[in-house]
Amino acid sequence: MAVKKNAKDTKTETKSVKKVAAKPAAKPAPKTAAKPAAKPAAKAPVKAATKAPAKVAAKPATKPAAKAVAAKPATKPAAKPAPKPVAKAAAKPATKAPVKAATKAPAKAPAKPATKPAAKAAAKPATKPAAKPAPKPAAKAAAKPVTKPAAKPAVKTPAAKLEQPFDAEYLVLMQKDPNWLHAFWEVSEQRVKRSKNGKGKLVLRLFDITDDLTVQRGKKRKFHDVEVPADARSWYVENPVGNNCMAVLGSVDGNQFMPILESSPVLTFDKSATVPSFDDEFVRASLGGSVNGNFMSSGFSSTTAESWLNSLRLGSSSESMFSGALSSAALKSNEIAAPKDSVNYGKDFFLWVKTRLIVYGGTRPDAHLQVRGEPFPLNPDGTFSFEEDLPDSTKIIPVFATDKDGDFPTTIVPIVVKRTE
Amino acid sequence: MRHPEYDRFFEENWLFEAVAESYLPLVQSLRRLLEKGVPGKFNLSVSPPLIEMLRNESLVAKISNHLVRLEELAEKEVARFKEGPRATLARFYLDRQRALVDTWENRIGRDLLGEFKALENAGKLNLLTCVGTHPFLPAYQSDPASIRMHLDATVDCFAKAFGRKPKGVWLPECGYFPGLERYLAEYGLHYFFLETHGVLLASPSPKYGVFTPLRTPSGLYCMGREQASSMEVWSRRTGYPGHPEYREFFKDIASERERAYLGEYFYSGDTPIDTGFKYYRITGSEQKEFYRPWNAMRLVQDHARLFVANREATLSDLIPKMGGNKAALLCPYDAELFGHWWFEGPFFLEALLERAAASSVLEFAGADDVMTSSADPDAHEPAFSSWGEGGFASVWINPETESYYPLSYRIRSRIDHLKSRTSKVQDAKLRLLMERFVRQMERELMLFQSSDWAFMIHNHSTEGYAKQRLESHYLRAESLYGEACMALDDCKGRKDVGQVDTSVLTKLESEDCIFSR
Repeated sequence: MAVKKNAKDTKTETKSVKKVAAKPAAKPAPKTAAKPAAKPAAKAPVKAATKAPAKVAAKPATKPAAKAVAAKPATKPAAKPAPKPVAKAAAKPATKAPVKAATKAPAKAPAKPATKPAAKAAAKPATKPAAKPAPKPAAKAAAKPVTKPAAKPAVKTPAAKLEQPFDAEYLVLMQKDPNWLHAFWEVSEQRVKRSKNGKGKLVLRLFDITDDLTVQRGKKRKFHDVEVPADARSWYVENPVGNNCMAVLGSVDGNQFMPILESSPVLTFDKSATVPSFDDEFVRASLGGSVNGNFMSSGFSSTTAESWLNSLRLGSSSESMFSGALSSAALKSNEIAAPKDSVNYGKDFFLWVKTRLIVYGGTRPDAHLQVRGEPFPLNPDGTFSFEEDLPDSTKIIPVFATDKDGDFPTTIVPIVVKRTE
Repeated sequence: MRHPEYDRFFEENWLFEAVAESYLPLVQSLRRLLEKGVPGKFNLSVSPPLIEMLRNESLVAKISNHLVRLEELAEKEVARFKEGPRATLARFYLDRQRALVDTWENRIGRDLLGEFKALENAGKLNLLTCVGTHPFLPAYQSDPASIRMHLDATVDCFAKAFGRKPKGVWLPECGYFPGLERYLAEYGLHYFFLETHGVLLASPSPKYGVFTPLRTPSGLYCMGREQASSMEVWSRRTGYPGHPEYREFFKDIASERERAYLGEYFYSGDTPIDTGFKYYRITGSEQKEFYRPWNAMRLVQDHARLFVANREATLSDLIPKMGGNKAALLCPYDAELFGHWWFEGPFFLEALLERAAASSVLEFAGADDVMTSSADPDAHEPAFSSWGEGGFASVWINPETESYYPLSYRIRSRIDHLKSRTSKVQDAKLRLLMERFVRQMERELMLFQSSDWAFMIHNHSTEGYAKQRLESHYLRAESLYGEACMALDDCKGRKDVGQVDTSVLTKLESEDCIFSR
């Protein structure tokens, strides 16, 4: 977790290396890149000096860049903190005529737009559904889709007449899964050009603002830069370790950072949060006893949300996360602290009395049997049995069977009340 | 969104099927329970688009027409088969169809919403709602204005239909991001529901898993889905609806009869549309056997008994460890599962309440009553989660769909821009006109943001239609924006407000009229 990396090197990798992994669980490649704190923010534009590491990674990189630098967030010095870029995007000298388009088309239900801006883009990545697509195709779609085609068919009014020159502007961080955020933005090319001023590099500067309740301007914050191509309009960004982050798109030239656009802060999935233990029977019961047996028995009691998730096969509304036979959780002794059934006088004397419950029965050897809602195997002669601890409790054990064709559905429900006095 | 130009647009057909196969049978079951005095109730989330559709006169008339067409077809089937198992089944369907028509026309007077309200007053239903046009909310964390726009429409729509504000909300796809509860609180909502891990990974960790409501920082309550009860119904391998005795969904008479016999109503182009009349049971092999309705109804009783017993088993294990508190357990399902996909589903629900009435362990309670306190004293912030495959956003945000989200943010950016221009307008009439533009752009945006489109693209089912809808709502918003800007410019010149071109606005106001006030 503490491999130190030269920030510059990491950046290079960011550009050149292709990401292969597909499973979100497999992603957190960055382990290696976690930063051992403190890179005096010498390079940062503003006075900065935080020590905490910021871990972020550009998606296409195998080894995400990680940097520990801190600086003032961005944009105009006097401006209010946490501005909403989307909202504030003001009218700007127009380059393209605003859209007066498809005015006629929309009348019909499935309006056929002259071009299919978004559809096209979506089609490309489709070929490789599992792999994360390079951000480019999506970017194209987002970049230009409509403004142009739409401007052409203008039905009545000559677009030139419109004084309303307005380019949409926004920078958005959207969470895809616990590990990845999708950043996308739109901003006029002029602004990017002006900001880069010929030689700067376009970057997404990601700020970890966890626990930053005040969002004071001038406050020193951890950040991390991800270089993006000048014509990109979207990029995958690894979810940082904290739970609250924001991004600023800008250009970096040496020490100079020229902000262009700012995202609003997003509360992200907190991968480092502590999670409930699988030893907790409420957790087991919540999951329907479907907890991975190995994980459970390996004795993890405190772990991270990330590894916790990896150990679960998360269900969906349409399919089961059940693994099959009667789960070990359901059969496990469910009581440890029942003082009534044991007496201990230290080394002089003790007595404990426990009970076990044996459930057994039989049906046709080819029948289907379920115990507590899960399939239960029959012995070759059609009998079955299981045994479990019987602490003070009321045990209800639904047993359900049908013949091999599913006929004769039959339920028998033994109820056992055990009490110690 | 309406399709007035079609008799039976396929999207509208989903509504007809839901009413004919799920909602009306559910109403019948609940009425029977009421007649018998069986205690217990179900929670039903009535989404804003469903409310809008059921309040639309032309759609209500189409539902009536649909039910009658089905009755006519059932009559033809009875005439076609004089004896044998098909004749028995045809008779079964005809009797049933007549009862459905009677329920719709006479008992509830074509007013399904009124009937839901009546059943709530009678203690058989607890009504809650869903959000706006069903947006996957984690995609709009950076667009609070859109979240508020949907919630505002939600509360307004529910209040119009049921005469009170909703207390509970079913989040689309259980999609949650940290902080969402604050927006829900702004709109007076009291509770919502989550997927299991949304609760288990809440911060701090919950004390009793999903077995008690969880209080959130803003003082709302939420609950997570219990997995075992879900899997007992949903599992493909062992779920109840897949039992061989139950009716086979995929063998509809629409694909077995000739076109001339069925009539054009049961065709969309060259494709027959399911009639809902199916003569076979699942059987357990490819050689399907005839459906035996009364054997299936007998099985329903057993499955209901089993379902209740399994819940009793879970609860009786946990209750002693809950420090004297009650335990709660959330078992959510799609309403269309019962009746449409699982034909016997409404009878299963009916049997559940009857079975639970005899239980000494559990009762079927209304969420309005349960979601008011917790056995766990702490406030918790739930985790980013959904009940989609993978547990997060990948069903809706993936390489095939993610290029659409920037368009949503672009429309938002244009709306904001138009609003800021509108705020500077002096002329009252022009300002009113601009507000109409803004509202209609917001309607287009809401329709654009429905998660259904991404879901269809992801599943490759009616994918083309989904993309068309996305593009069309996007372009409509752009057209409105263009027309609005032009109107502003025209008025700045010499034109009177009455003279500016509003053809796009007028047309779209009547077509995409969802949530009109």
